[in-house]
Amino acid sequence: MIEPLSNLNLYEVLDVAPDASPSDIRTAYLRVKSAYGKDSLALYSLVGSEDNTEYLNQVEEAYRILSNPEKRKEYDRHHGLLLVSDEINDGARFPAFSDDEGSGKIIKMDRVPPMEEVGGDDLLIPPATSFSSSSATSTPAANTPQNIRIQDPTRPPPTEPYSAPTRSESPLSEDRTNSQIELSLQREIANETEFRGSFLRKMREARKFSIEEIADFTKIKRTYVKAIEEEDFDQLPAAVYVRGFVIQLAKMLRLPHDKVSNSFMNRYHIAKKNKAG
Amino acid sequence: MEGRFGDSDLETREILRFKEEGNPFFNIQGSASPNLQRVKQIWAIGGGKGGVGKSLLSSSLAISLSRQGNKVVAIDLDLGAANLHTTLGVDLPERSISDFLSNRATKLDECVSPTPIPNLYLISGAADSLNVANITTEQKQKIIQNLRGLDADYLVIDLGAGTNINTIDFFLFSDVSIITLLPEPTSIENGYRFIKTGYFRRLKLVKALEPIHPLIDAAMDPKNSEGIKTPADLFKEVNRLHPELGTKLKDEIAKFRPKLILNQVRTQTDIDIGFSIKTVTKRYFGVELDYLGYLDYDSSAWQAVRRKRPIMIEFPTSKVVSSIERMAQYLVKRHGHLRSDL
Repeated sequence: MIEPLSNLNLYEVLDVAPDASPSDIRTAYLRVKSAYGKDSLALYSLVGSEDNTEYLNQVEEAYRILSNPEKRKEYDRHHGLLLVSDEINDGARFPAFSDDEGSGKIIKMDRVPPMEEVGGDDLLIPPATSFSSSSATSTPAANTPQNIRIQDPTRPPPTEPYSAPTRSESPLSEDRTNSQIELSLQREIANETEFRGSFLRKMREARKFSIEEIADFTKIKRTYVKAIEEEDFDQLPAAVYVRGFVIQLAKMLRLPHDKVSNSFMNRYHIAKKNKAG
Repeated sequence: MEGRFGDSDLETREILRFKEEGNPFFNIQGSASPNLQRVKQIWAIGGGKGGVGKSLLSSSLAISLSRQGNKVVAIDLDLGAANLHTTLGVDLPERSISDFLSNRATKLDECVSPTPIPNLYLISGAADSLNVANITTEQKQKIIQNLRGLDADYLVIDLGAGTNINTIDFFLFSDVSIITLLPEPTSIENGYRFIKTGYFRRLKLVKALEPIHPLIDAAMDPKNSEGIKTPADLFKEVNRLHPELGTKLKDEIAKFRPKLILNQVRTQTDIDIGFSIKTVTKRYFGVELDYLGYLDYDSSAWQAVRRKRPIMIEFPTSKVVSSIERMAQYLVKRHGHLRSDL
């Protein structure tokens, strides 16, 4: 991509294929942000890398539009990028590059992240309720961010039958690396019994969510998210609310929410009792 | 205009020679040897900085390839600082590449030594004349022209540190060129330098791009008067002055696809640096790096070196070894058909 920025469309700015899935777009966005961040080691010694403000602004703009299904759809229409399907937010978009890789089916099998198999039941059960009280249904029209991130109950596990052709090339990079990491995360989750706030924070960071994003998606106040992670029970409201928060948080982090909430609430009650007694 | 590769007369002559004979990098005419087709593929491992694991990775990939049933010759082209034999657990071989360079051996075949590992042979760079680090252009050509005539399925070349033109040319001549980096500023700095040098060198070897060679020369000198600072600037200048060559330039850049292996990785952040390097390389050079994967920081690596034994044999169950095995299998599966000389 040695062309000037002004020549690039939003997908090229993020270096994703025009039919990239929402999670691909998010991954690409995070990747670019960390590559061009202030202290990025990857920029070390490169001439002309001193100021990336302009590029980073473009990246933010691209992500702002492409991460919003409605805006993305509109952008695609304007730029003639809509290839086959109109359903950007629908997991079953048509493979645009099906001829690139031979049999799509085999690739599909390869691409199913191993986490889906080892995670245990709890981890696979999609949320029964929505994360935000405001938009409780998961119709395609509910274009709230959680639809992007979290699996729809009616949808099979993400298979991503397409993506940029280069994505599948190396066994250890991209998909593979991600699934390797995912696998070790899953193991860690399976071995965890206490689900302390510190563990929740670790998982949040592993999944690359900021507290702001969690607050945004779940509508839980930032201070509460923080308090949960710090197990600062004094800062938390009544048990009935806290339980709901913890469950939402656990679902968002793809943790076994009943285990998480039970152990967390135990500690919550003990702390309250100690204080009272 | 001074090329950064030193003696510019020699440079020009060399390039002219390539043109007369057919460019050995991209279009061998088949005149050198009847065995030309024997070697399926040449892999080269470079990386700019010393101590980033080139020899260890070369020997390990070579062992892995030989275990897959291929006849493999590992070649130490880290001339003057050769130690591939040590990482393969071989005593100082009697024959080395300097026998071929000094005409004591008439054929490159004669420099091949056996190793204790089945299917694996070695052309050592050691036991050499102290002059071997400074081979001439003719000697380099001699090596390059005879490599593919060796009786082997795969050649795995261990390159030296730095961006010496010989090292760069061996790197470019190979079918699968692998760069090893550590997630450290020093290594990344040298690594970019290596990529950049290889990148410009490659462009200069393309005859069709001759009209823009002066621009490439300029781009190689950061203080050039044209103000070309980055490959992006070069691209812009080419499009302005020789619009007809813009596409050709882009095509040639696209053909340069080194692979990246990040070594001595300790944390997730380290792993992510590989992705960042990939992203940045694409944006700054237009070069698509294949991030093959990473190797964990692992004490088995230095323990194996201390024992002068290959890590593949000494620590067969280590994670590093299984990662290397997987990379080798992947490279064969995915890139096994590639031949830069066809």
